Amino acid sequence: MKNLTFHHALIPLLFSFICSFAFVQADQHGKGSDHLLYTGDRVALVGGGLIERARLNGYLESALSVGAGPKITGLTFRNLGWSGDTVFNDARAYFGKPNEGRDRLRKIISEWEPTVVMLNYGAEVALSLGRPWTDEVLASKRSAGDWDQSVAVFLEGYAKMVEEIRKAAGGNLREIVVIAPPPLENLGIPMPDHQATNRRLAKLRDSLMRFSKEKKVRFVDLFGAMNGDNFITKIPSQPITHDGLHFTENGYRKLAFQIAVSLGYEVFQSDALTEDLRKKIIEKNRLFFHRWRPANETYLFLFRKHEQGNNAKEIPQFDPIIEEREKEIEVLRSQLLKDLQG
Amino acid sequence: MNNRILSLCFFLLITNFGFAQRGLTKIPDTAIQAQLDSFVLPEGAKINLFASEPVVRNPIHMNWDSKGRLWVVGSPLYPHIKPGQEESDQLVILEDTTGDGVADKHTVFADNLHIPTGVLPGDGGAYVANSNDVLFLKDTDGDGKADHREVILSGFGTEDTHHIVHTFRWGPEGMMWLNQSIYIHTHLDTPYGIRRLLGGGMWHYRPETKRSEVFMKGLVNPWGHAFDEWGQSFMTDGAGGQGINFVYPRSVFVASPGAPRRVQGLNPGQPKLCGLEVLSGSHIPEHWRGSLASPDFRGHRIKTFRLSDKGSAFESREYKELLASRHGAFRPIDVKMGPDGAIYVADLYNPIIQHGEVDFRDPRRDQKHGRIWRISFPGNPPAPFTKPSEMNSLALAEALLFSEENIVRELATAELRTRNPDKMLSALNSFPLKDDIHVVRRVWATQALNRLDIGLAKQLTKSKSHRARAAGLRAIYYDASNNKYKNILSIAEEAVSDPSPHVRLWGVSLLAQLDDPKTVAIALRALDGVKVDDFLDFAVWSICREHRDRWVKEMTTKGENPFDSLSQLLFASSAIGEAIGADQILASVENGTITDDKKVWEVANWMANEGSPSHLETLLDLAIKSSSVSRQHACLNALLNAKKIRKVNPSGDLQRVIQFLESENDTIWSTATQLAGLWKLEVARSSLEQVLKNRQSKQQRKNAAVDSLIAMGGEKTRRFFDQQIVDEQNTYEQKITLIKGQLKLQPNLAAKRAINLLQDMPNTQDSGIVFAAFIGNRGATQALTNELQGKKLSHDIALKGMQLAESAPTRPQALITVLQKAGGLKSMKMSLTRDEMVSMIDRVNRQGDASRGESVYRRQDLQCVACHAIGKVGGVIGPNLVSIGASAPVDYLIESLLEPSKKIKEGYHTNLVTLKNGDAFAGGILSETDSELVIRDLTGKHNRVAKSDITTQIISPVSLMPVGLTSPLREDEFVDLVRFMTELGKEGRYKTKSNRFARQWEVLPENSPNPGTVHHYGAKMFTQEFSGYKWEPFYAMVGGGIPAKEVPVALKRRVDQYQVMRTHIEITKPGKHKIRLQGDLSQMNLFLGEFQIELPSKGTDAEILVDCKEVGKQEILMVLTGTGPDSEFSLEGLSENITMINSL
Repeated sequence: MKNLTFHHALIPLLFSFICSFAFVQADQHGKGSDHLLYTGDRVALVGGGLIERARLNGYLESALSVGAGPKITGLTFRNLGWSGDTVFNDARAYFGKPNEGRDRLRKIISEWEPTVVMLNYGAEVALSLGRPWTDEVLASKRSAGDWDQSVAVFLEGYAKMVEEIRKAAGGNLREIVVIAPPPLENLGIPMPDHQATNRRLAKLRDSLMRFSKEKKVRFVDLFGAMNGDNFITKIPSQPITHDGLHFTENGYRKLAFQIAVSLGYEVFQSDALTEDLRKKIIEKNRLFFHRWRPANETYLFLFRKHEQGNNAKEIPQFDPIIEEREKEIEVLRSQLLKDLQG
Repeated sequence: MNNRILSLCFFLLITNFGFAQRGLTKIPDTAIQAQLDSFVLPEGAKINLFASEPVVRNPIHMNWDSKGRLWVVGSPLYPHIKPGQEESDQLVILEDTTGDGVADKHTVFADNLHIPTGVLPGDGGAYVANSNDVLFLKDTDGDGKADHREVILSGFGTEDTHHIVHTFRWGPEGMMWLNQSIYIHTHLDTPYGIRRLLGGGMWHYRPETKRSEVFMKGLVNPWGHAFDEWGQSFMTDGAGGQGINFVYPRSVFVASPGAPRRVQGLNPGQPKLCGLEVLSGSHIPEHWRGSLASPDFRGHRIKTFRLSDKGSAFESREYKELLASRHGAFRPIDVKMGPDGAIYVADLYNPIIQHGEVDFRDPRRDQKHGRIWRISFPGNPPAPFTKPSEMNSLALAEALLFSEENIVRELATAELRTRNPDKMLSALNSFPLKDDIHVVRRVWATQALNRLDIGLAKQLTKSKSHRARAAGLRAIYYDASNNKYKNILSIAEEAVSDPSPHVRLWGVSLLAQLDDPKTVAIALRALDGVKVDDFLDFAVWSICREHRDRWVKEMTTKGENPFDSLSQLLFASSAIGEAIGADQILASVENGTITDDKKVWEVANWMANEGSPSHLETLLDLAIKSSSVSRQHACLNALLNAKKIRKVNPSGDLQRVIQFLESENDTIWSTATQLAGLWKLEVARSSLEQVLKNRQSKQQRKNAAVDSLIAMGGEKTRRFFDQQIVDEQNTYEQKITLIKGQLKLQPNLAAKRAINLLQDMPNTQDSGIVFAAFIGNRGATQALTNELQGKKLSHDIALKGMQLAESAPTRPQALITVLQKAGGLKSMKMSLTRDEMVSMIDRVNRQGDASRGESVYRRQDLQCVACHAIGKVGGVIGPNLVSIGASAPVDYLIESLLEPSKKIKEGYHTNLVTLKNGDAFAGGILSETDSELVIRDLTGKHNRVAKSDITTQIISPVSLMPVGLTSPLREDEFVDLVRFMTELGKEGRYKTKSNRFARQWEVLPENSPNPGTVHHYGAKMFTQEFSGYKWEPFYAMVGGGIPAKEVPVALKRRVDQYQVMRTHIEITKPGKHKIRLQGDLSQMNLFLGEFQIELPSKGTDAEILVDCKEVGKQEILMVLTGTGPDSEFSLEGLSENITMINSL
């Protein structure tokens, strides 16, 4: 094993991890009074491309699992992001009608029974003024209407999704978190100018804040936390996105940091061990991706399963490997937190 | 039964083993020499190994970089990663540093990929298709390995790993082009909003702006895309059968989900093709240059095609084979021109292709080998090549503008993108340009820098050459939607009235990008003044729909036709499927402004789909007032469809339709009769009953009368049906017709009556009709099942019922069980044990005779040709078998013949639609709108079904191919048939040749009626128009020949006999054109239209000049006289100006 003290940080201290244990008065059951995560929590991350790509760098999960502190143990995460998804979950429909995407989300939620579900949607709405942003039959046309109409459709869909997630998750679901989409980055010509989109995102954030209050769910103002309210038009010298929308690794570090801070977690600095943890998380995510979104769905589970469905037996064989990785993650995490405490 | 295959098949199978194919065929020799020995090459060509395993394994895709190195991705992980397996597929860079045509250096650029299906070096690294994502990999520290990995695009579906994002290519305009296939559902989050593509299609992506857009949709598995000299796009399809596809913006092709309309490829009947490249450059012999090469990976060969202008698109003709092989693991799947002017071929190397029909883990899958082959012409010097990466700005600009080597310009385009744009622009501007093509290239170069010279592009649209004008429009097309440029509308406006339909097509495509409210009005002008083909028609249809709101708003607010003419309004309204402008248009049919029959049908069909009750009333008026049968039919047919699909009646007096029950014309009578029933016009009842009582009535009329009485319904219908069924006076045919009606009203009673009928049915009757009627309706199936409990049927009749039930998409298991009991049948498990399969394969290999097998295949009772084509000819219901032998293992073929449902080819899954009344329709979905589905059933019939009538719609796991088709065969015949199939597409006699034989014929059946003029005219008699001729389809054999003894003798007169056949050709230019005839010439009489073509009086092979005065489609008639030759004969087009028409 490598030296575990965090003073031996091998990684440049670009990013600070987050930790709540020193500050929050945790009771002896490991429950913080106002914190999101409890021992044994199963956290589902649901959203579009922003969430989907978070699996490839592991920052968000690292930040949350370390941030939860040493009293909290046995956290597991499932990244259920899906590029191009909307609050109607239509990107998940495969061959089915757009609303069958919702069924797919419900299925995994009801099978995995998360205790916490974190949601991120909305950038697609702000980017599609006057054009439909969903294929869902009852919503598509209205989604192409004016801004107010589009937002109304969005919130309608959001409310229904939250309700369905609650139903599917069952009694153990404790928290739903709505994360406002972060601002888009202006990268200068020839990339598109996102000033107007960001103004729409600010309004959307306001709507989501009201929505969260109404629905009694936790809200994270990632738009504000990522400096959205300053409406920066200057081209950044060190962009944190590839294309204005999708974050670079560095961007995801900041994003993860801000989400964790918004949830009341505090900061510590990263080291070799946190890098090991993050790599393990990435590996776990890679395996889980093959487990829940395997290639060849058509043959394994859908209308050609009478030909190659016998191979579907391999897919659950990922489970023990994922569990193995999760055990290793737990060990790394507790070592890391012990070091920090010591 | 001893000698029959049935004995082999009809037994109870105790265990069903999943891997019937395992270890059953010989694995081809993996030695490189074995492959080298098997190649067949054109004259002057040589093939050598450029690279192979272990450096390259299972290569899938390749592209060159501007240093002249070949980047190759391969995937031993394909088809599916195993739990615990690392993502370890590789991207390898191959280099020939010595110029001897062999890669002597290789670098593993990345080794952590997951089924990489595309690679495109450029922008200082390489773009790589990695299942869900497109990656950009870069080597930042110069060690030759990628150390930077970035996801550029994500959200590509992976529902099938031979469909995932693939076929990367730089366009001449500097965008990355990429394809996906039928099962893939892609949802990209982009900084411009979400972009989705569900099903197959092609994208383009500009790295500078990160903008991805869908260019076209459809095609089943399109792994080929190439640009011609003028930048037009062509695609091939690895699972479709239409050869080269000309694609343009917003075009929609086969298999695009939910598409109401699709355009066709240029070569129907071609085998599946993977990859596409334009053969070019100074190294290859001149005759190959400009042809399109595409691998037929199943047939182990590379086919080529030549293009010429035709209408708004192109004509594509098959040319010679570039390469063929007898090696069963040679799988050419990508072909690229190389920097030295040679042709490079990626050989996946696998005896097994894909993974739909063969198990993921089949041990015969090769995961070790892979080859890159190089075809050169040693008689010619290598093409001159300077690495674009080493050129200075001026040299690079010169190469881009003037190099005659396509590969140099392509690689220079990629290189250009990495250079300083200002420097490059000034270099590009320093050369004076003479020809249009050079101007086009300069425009592309500026675009590849993302600095489009819009002035020059606009100038191009005024060029002399129509290809240059089209290229100019295409260059503007991509960015036109951004409102970046001024006065684009006027350019598009000019283009839609261009003398060239091709330019018009691009004018309409450009319009579709613009925001102007007038786009549709302008686009519609493209339909006037030129011959409009389907490509152009589709483009205009498409913009009418896409920009619907613009013109409909104008129409509804102002209340007047926003277009130049009524026929434009008709076109636009039909396109969007709404009744806008119907009053005006119907009025002009009524007052005689619109007279053309075709237009009237168009109006009537449109009204059927969209018309209001008062519009329909006008149609009924029109039918009554008209004396033209065609017009009456158009109107009545429209009324029938309006009722069936939309449940809408005309307003006004419906009884007026009764007058058509006097019609002499069976079609008019039947249509009116069905309307009378659906409209519940009781006054018609007694005359319909008379028709059914009358033994002499025509079947068409009887069927219509039954439908009509069912629709009227009520006690009267029920009583009438049953009375007639039990009436001893009535014939079997009459009773069957009535039972088919009764089962929809009183299924249980109908089942009782049917069983009585079946129990004493004479042998001459076909019991299949009865079973099919019951099986086609859910309630009736149930009733028949109940009533059959404890009853007995004869063995043969029960067997017939069971065969139909076994192959019904609904697979009524309970009915199958009672039929088995009723007929005392053994369980019909059409499968073989492992040992039986092994011995069957052995017999096929040792004793099977392909030539006898072909005769079996062509036998009428097997009906193979009715559903399957081999190459260009035959039915389209089942998969084309053109190269089935080369691609499928023997056990697969045997299994598919015996158990058609076990493995179903993609694209041939049966959709099963059940209606509220229990009727079931099965087949392929041809088109779909909000209100209806069109399903093509097993018989090829197009069934229109109202969506509101549908209760369930599923994809059936049952093949449309009936079970037991091969049961009439003796075992030796079955063995021969399988042998024939195993030879299809393999090098040899049963590979479809590129010779242009007349393959699709029609023949007159035996004892045909004739106008009685035979002694005046002799053979020429058959050129006369005569309504008594009932032509039947007839196909040439795989080799192009026709066995004379299979052609029916249409007329016999003492010793003379006449065998009569016809085929069609298209003449593109008047003149004397050459054809070739083989066979006994002394017995042939040949006619072009009514003119006899002079033939030599004897001989067996002759080239003949035919005087073709008129262009267009013409009939060729062949009459064999005398005692009838026992040999084969064939007719082949040799001149470029004759096209054999091999489709109906």
